[in-house]
Amino acid sequence: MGELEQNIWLPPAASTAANEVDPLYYFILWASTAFFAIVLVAIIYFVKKYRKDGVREKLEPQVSHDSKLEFFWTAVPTILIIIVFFWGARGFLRMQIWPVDAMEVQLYANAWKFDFLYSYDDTQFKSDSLVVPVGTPVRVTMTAEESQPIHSFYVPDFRVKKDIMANRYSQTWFESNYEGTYDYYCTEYCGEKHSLMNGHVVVMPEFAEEFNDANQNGKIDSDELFTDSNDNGNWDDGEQFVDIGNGIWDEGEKFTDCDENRVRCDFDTDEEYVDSNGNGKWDEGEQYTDSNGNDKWDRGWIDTDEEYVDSNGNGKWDEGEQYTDSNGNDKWDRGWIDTDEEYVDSNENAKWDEGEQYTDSNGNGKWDIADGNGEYNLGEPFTDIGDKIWTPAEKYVDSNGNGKWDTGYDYWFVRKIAEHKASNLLAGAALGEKVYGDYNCNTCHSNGMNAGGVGPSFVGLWERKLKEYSSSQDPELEARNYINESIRYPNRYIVPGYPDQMPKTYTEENGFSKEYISGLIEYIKTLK
Amino acid sequence: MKEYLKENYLNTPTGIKSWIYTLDHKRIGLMYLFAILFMFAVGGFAAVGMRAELMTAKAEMSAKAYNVLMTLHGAVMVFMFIIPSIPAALGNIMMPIMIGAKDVAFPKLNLASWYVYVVGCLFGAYSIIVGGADTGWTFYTPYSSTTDSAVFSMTMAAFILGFSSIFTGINFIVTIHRMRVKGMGWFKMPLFVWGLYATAIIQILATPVIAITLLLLIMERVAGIGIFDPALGGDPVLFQHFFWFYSHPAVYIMIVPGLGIISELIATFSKKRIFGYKFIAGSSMAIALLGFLVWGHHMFLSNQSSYAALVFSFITFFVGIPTGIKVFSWLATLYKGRITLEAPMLYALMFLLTFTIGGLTGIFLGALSVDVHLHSTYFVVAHFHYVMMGGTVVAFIGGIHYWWPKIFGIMYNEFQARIAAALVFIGFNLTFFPQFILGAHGMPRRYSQYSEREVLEDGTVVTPYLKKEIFEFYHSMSTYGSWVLILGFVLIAYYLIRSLYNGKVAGSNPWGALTLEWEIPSPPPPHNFLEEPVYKHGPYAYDKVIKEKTVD
Repeated sequence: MGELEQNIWLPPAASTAANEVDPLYYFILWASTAFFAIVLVAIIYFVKKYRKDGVREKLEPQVSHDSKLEFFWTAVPTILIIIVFFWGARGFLRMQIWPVDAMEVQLYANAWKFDFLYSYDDTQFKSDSLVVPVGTPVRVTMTAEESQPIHSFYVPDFRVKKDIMANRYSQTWFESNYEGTYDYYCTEYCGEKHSLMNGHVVVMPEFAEEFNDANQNGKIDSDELFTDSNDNGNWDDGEQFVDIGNGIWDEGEKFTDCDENRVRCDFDTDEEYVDSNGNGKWDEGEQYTDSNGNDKWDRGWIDTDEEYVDSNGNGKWDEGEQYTDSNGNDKWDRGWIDTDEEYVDSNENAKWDEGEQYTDSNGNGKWDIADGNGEYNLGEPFTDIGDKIWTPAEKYVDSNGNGKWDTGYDYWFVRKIAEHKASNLLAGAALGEKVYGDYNCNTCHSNGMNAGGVGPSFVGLWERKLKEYSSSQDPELEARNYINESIRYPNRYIVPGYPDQMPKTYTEENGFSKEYISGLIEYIKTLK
Repeated sequence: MKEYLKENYLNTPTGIKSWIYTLDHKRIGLMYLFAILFMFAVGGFAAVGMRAELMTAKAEMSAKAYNVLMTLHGAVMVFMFIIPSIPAALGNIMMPIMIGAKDVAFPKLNLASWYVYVVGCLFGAYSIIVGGADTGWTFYTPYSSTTDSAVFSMTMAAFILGFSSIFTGINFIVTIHRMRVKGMGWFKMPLFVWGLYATAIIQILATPVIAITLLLLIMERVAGIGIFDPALGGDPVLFQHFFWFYSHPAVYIMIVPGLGIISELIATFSKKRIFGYKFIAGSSMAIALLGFLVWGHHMFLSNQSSYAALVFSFITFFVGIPTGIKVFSWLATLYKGRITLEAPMLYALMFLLTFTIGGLTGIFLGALSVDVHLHSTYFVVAHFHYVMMGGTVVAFIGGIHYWWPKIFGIMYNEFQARIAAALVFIGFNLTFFPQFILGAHGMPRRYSQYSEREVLEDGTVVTPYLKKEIFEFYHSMSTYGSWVLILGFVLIAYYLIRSLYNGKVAGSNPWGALTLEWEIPSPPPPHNFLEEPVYKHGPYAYDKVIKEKTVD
């Protein structure tokens, strides 16, 4: 793996598919340039040489036909285009055939958003970005709800593109050998916000750098985490910080927030101290426990405004009004606000405009927006109270010597699973099993433990279909489409020997979502 | 004849009724010309609006407004401008004279086709007034079956315009078959007539398919009959097959007559027998027929069978061969010619360059693996505009300049015409060449913005485009180019209109050309020929005949 190059003619070639596309692209480019040069030179030469006043003085015989020449300029382009055809066709077919060891990610397209679904155990989690380990073939199986227009998934730097149809499965695959973040786009016009249907593909190392989960270095290195320039214990706009997502700091990315109070964990509460003079606050010289090893006593963040006596009744604290100095810093502190302050949206544009009424909950005399934190976004450092999560203070093995801790696909994957488990949503085969019962599939179709019998048994169905489609270009895709069609349009094909009795009510309209179908497919795969 | 014919088709007879009910192919052609140029201006304004929006990455107008503009530009330019442009306007005026006929075979059908065209345009205008359609000119299902924009009236417009196109096609085929002057065999016809003939065949064979397709789409929208919409049990790819079965041949409806004009221009301004006449004539027919077998190349990524994709790709390349033969034949015609560089010839040479780029970039898109990368990007937009604008529109403007002295009997300002040609050439390339690079870098077509992280007015958050900077650079270049292009068109409009008031008298044959239309006075008499036309020599017999130019 070398450095990625980009020139005026093509973007970086970040996947193996570029090997099929780029050489042919350049071949056509240079052949065309030569052809164009011939046309250009011929025009300039002839015009210069034969430019006259336009009336012939005398009649003379003229060439209007030359079989040899005409054969030549027919044959040469013909040979060239036949080369181009076979070259292009070979690459195209190779780009259709995915390696058997490819990992699978499912893609659900919705106007106007792509969701990527990752399976683990018997369930799956969702992500806005397509995150993949470097150097691994990835197969993207794509579908959309029946009400969807056609979408198309395109990653320019990977030379990968495929249309996504409602009620059908399609797929594409790629393998990237370059870590980094790339754009993906929807390239089939799908309505109003078509141009907002974009996002990022993140190629990560397969494994995160090892780290010691015991906070053993006892000190924070300034280049490892954000530089708290004003010592207020939380990240402010513009301050440096470490981004464990894509390895680069992006404008607008958030800081480490372990318990959603908008404060970095190790500064959450005041460090303990011995109040030797009993004045209720820490004074210079008093003993303390230096929990984060920065050689000074740190004050924790306060969650709510300090109480005060609103002597002039203006609803906010004014200079001079009495207050309870709960953290002993000799000034009145405002607590953090977690949500936007309430306001009356008089012009109904869903945002607060200058002049609209609002509740000034923290009394700072202006309307505040919460900065949208408190949830985990890809690329944010996420410090969990539990273990196996890297916090900036924890030691790590800087394997590539870039002076910062680099995340990896394994780490991302585990984090997403933890997050998904917290949400308690069923997916994959587990969801399929539940749907199988809830929607009474079990009445007609056997899963090996009940009678069924009215319709074909689900046991061994997947294997049967794979075998049946084994001669097709992509048996798995065909099998998927078969099951999908059997659910959405039951009477299009009736399995011989069975009655046409399957209800036609398993539609998106009735709430039978593509997640259910996907789950059922996963479930059927388990019934061998 | 160096003088201006006093009693000509423009003033005999007079009165508004004499135009409304006219059966004269020249008057109908002229009415077509004005209507078409008006639609060109409408489509052009939409394009300027789109280019203004795309100049910067941020969204300056709402996405919905952009989508309507984009559809408007595409539908107006394709259905109302470029398809009828050369055949219905220039072809209508010139073709019967060129073959020595007094009129087309069915003059009433000819007039009817103009009225049908106007009705079609009115449907389009209605669609715009009630908010416009937002489907793109391709009307892809199931989006077009479900969006609540004015799709019905816009598809009705395209449906009706199709009839106008069929009427013209039938008329031309019969006229060319039955009404050639005695002595003019098939291979003695001017090549422009060959181009119109090939076009007419495509028009009557392909247009009914789009008509029925749009009708099915309307039935799906209005009556909920499931044909294309998966939610109703339909198949959206079926629509694409139907649509491109017409719309691919339709691009040959657009370009083949342009190829015919270029043959006329190159021969006339080289004063040379055209090289490989039969190959050029034959290649027009070959393009017309092969054009029916390549529609699937618009759908390489639409999950049609990979094997079907192979076949379509293979045939697609073979459309390139006759086109290449034409270009080489034109170049060979220049060899040992007596070349002069009047405005029409400048457009012909411009065509040779821009159309060649348009054709060659088609090779990229026909190559299957490369198409995976370039499909649906600005590369396609650039390719299409190099062929349609760099090809057809340039040929159309060249044709207007070529026949202007015949149609109106006067000359325009040659110097201004050359300046305008330079502006069009520079503006065109500056507008569209950067779009190839945009596309190769992955800029998808039909995008209204490509911004950094941004919160839009409705609260939507834009995921940052990592490629924003490179996109913005080439998009802004393209927008500057569109301004130069506009300047060129405004100048053309200025001196053409001005020539009607103070133009120099052109006489019957200002270029010293040999085709039949230059034998009659300018402007032509009401019934074309003052005396029975006689076929004396071939259209390009510059080795046998010398004609004096009737203007200095």
